[in-house]
Amino acid sequence: MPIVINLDVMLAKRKMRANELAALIGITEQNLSVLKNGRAKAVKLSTLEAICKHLDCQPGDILEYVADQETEA
Amino acid sequence: MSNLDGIRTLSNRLLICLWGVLISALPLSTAFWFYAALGEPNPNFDAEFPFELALPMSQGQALAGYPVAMIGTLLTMAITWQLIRLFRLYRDGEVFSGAVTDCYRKAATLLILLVLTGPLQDLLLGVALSIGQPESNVGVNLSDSDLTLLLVGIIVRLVAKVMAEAAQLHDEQALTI
Repeated sequence: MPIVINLDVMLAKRKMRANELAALIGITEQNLSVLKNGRAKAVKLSTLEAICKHLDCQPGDILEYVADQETEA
Repeated sequence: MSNLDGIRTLSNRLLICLWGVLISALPLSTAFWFYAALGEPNPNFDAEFPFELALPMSQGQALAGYPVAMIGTLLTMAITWQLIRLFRLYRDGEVFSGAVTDCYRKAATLLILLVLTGPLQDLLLGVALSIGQPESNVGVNLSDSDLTLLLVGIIVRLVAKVMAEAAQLHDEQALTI
């Protein structure tokens, strides 16, 4: 999928562990792992809002569009 | 009690019935066949054949007709097995998945096959029971219940497609964070 989730980068910048963030935003560590690994099919706006709030960042810091070769062609 | 708990409880009870049906189907059908074929005609036990037949049959006729007569029973057992698979999945809390869809699809195919093999089974039974007889008796019997069963099979086939769609939606919902 051409949408890349940069949650690991933001967690490292904020020096926060994934389980801490999961607890803060009220989702399971398993679901956060699905999101981090790019296996999620959709992200709820409420989840994105909570992530941005607790990591003090913008949605664009977490989500990135990277065009793959097939899309470019 | 949540819906899922209800599904689990009912599935567990149905599984007991279905195992009973699966285990008893072949012995009971065998017993009925040989009782109808070799026993004296009994007004309380009505054995229907798709053609005129003098009862009791000879042992050779009964043995020749037995494998053909069991085709329907074997198909019914296969349908029961698919239902057992389905209710096991329901009991384990798996309601929307590829495996459930597969059970619906196979059960529907077997139901349709059961109706379609009915006339073939009648023809084969006629041939099998005519071996060594001076004249052959062949006939086909198609009843209202066969047509109802065919309709049910087609509807279950449609339900299988709906379940495939539901499984896809369930997957998407499970991966929405």
